[in-house]
Amino acid sequence: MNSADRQFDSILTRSCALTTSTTDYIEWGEKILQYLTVTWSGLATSPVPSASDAYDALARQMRADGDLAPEQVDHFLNSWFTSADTNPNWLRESAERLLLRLRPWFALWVGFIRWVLTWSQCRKFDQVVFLGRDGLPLYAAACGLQFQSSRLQLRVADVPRSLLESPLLKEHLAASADFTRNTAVVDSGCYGTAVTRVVKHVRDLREDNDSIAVMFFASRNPRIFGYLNQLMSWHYLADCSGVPDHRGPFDFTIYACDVLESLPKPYRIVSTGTQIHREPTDFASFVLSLRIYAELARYARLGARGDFTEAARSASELYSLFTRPGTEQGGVRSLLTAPAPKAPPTPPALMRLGITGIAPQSDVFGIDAG
Amino acid sequence: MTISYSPAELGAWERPTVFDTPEWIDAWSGATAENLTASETITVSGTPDPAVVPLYLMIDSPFWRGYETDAQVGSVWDEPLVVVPSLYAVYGPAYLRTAESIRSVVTTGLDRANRWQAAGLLVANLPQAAAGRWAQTCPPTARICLDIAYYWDVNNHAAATLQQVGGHQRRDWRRRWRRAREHGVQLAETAAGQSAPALAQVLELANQSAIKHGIAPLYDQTTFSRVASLPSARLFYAELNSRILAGILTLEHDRSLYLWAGGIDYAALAEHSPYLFLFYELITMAPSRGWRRLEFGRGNYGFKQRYGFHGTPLWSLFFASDVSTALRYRDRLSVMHDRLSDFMRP
Repeated sequence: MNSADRQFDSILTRSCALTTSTTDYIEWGEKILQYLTVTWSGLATSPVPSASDAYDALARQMRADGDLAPEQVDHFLNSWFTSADTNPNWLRESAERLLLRLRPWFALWVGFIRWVLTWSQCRKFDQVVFLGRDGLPLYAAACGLQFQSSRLQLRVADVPRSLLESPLLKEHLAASADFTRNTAVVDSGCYGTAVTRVVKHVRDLREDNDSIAVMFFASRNPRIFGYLNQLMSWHYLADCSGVPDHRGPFDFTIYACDVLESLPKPYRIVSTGTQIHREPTDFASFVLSLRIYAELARYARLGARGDFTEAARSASELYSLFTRPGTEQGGVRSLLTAPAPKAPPTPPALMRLGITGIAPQSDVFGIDAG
Repeated sequence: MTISYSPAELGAWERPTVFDTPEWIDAWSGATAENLTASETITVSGTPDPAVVPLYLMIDSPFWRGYETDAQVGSVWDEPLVVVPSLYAVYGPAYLRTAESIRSVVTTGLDRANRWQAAGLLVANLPQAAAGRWAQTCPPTARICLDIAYYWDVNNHAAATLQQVGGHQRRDWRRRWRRAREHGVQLAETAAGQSAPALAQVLELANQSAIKHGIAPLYDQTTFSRVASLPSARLFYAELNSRILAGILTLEHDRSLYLWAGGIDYAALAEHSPYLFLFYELITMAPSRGWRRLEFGRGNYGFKQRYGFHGTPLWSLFFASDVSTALRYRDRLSVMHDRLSDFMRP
């Protein structure tokens, strides 16, 4: 990890720990945006763009990331982004509108991380590694829960899909975290392409299954634990009498994963052939993503909410909104009109993803022999 | 579709509401919940006193999305829309009475709709009586009843006010209020802008209540704080052992108390009836505070009708900016109107 990457770690951590003496929310929010604006200008060595230029750059970045279809990017941004150059408050207003649409998810995200950290501590894990970049909001929630004061180390390891076959990946992972420690790996989820690589890396260092755990927010791989899958399972049992083509609890699980993964990111990962490093994204992606992380960390830090009951309640309510007829453009789906396009691995490739015998998925069917 | 009204009803809406005041318009200029990319205040001619009406170019509004969700329709607008006023204002400019002033708003609004390439102009949330007058003066492309606003006119004595409720419901209400008191539930009141923690809790309750009713959150913290900063804003909440069970952000204007946004902790509903407790307290304190009308806001139709609140349908008039799209929007709004009518029916 080079000095620029450490600088990003520092910005991430600082954004999640920002507090002010004021209790005025508006003032607090503006101070954070000022800090992030100055920070971006320094990193990117560029002047702050106009609202319309910022919109264009963010839309370009999101299309390049490929998490959403092009028309989904437009819909996603139009519901909250102010692109009018005449509005001097465009950044603050856009941030607030985005936060308004994301807040219902906070209890669920924080509930997941509270469970991850509690589970990890109870099972004597030393370290929790969040996979970047999709897992960054979850890292922010963990920072807010202040588990750093315990012996549990929180780390971020970038594992971009484009570098999975790179010979640099092993060295890059080793620089990101000490994988000789007992490590829980956390990611937003889906098929497990990236995490499989990480587990293999750890297996190269240690062969015991007890030294690593893998937790996804939402899983589409039967060998990888998915927190939301577990929360939604009772809905699956309860809703089995529904019509076959109605959107079910596990469609919601996929949608929830899409929401988390489609959020703006503060940096992109670049490989120069000899090294992997981070570069700041466009202005709006950088500032708004870190504004979300700051708010999420604040929510986790200040609120007693985010326990299991709260997470289950939130999941049920969001699922109820998701399945309500006519909500394709409104309600909970106002951020995304439909699930994001997927490029699922072929069945043989999927069979190779995920590793059997890894907790907590290995606990699901019981651990007693016999 | 016609809007029937009697001239006698007009009297109740001939004075500006809190949503017509410069203070509200100024507060809303800093609100962030809606994606409004342009705004303007127009000075209206043809009124005895100078009148200012705000119009906004709306790209997205959680409140409008909530109506689409309730109606179970997809996105109605293919283009931005000019709205007068924001949908977060319970009432539109019903106090404009002369044909000249009404035409002035519609003409200016349509001009901006054309300039900003918007679908048209939506004059929102006119009480039934006022909507009829507007529609007669400027026939709209379409009209839709989006909501119902509930209110009570207050008598000099709380007991007399409560006579508006049927005997069984009144006794039940009073019993629930007494039981909450016995459990230790208390009414608290603060200047809304001076109690950030309580305001944040009420905001959370308001958004949770929205989710409970099947729509996405409506209020963000900046918007709540802006409205709370109005001099007339007060926060009323039912509290038990420092826990807020229900709370409402209110605005006082012209001897009326507007319950603008609020919510309850549904976990406390069965045991403490916090909403009924709060409303009972407000009704009993109304004479001493000089309130002549309590405006209970929109939504929660079954509850408000069960307890005898008076309701006025809120009509919104749509004026298309382009004849080629008028039919399309008229059809969509017609479907939405029918479905919302079913939704609001108890």
